[in-house]
Amino acid sequence: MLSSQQEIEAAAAQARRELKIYAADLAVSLAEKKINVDEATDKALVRSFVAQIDAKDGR
Amino acid sequence: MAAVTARYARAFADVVFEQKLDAQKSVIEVRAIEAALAESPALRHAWDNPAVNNPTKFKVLDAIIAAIGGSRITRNFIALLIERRRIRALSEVRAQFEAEVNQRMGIADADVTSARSLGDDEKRALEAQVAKVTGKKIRASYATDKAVLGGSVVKVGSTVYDGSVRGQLERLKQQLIEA
Repeated sequence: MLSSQQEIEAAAAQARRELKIYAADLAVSLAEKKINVDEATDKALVRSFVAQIDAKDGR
Repeated sequence: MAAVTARYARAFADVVFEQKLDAQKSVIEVRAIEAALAESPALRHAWDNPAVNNPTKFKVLDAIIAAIGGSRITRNFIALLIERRRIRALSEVRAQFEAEVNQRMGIADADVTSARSLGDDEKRALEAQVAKVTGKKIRASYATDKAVLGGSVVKVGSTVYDGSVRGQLERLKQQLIEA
């Protein structure tokens, strides 16, 4: 059985994790709205991706 | 069921390769019959119905084979599936047959998704690099999806090569969470 202190610590850890996920989600969704990839940049991205594709990159 | 359908698919592939038929054409023929079956509930019912005799079923099959210019080998294979009451599993058999053909010919299907339509030079470079990495001939199909934001995602079998902006953001998010 968990002691009260352990319960509080577990709840605090869980809250910290949820906050991190929320903050990461928010940061990424804000970044996403700001990102505007023009054609030239996209071509450069594709070129760079092609050059870097390696067997170890697959997941 | 998967083991049974794989057995049919392998046996069909064996015959196609032994007879030196065009395997890709055989795939197209089986796909055409699969499409006819999907489009016609009456055909499904007739081919799957034990009350309808085999000569009647085969007459319909022969008409379809003639219409699509199919080979005798494909005709006989489909007839076998009808006779053995396996025609309901045609989609599964066809998928396994395609996989078998791809494996024997050293072909890998690649699904490429990007935010915009890639140019021919980009497609060539991408296919050449994926061929080099996988050691297989690549048969690529392309799709656009604005959600990738930029760059490309290439899926070969169960392997994903993610060079998209969306993928980079997802990785960044994971790093923020794990930091």
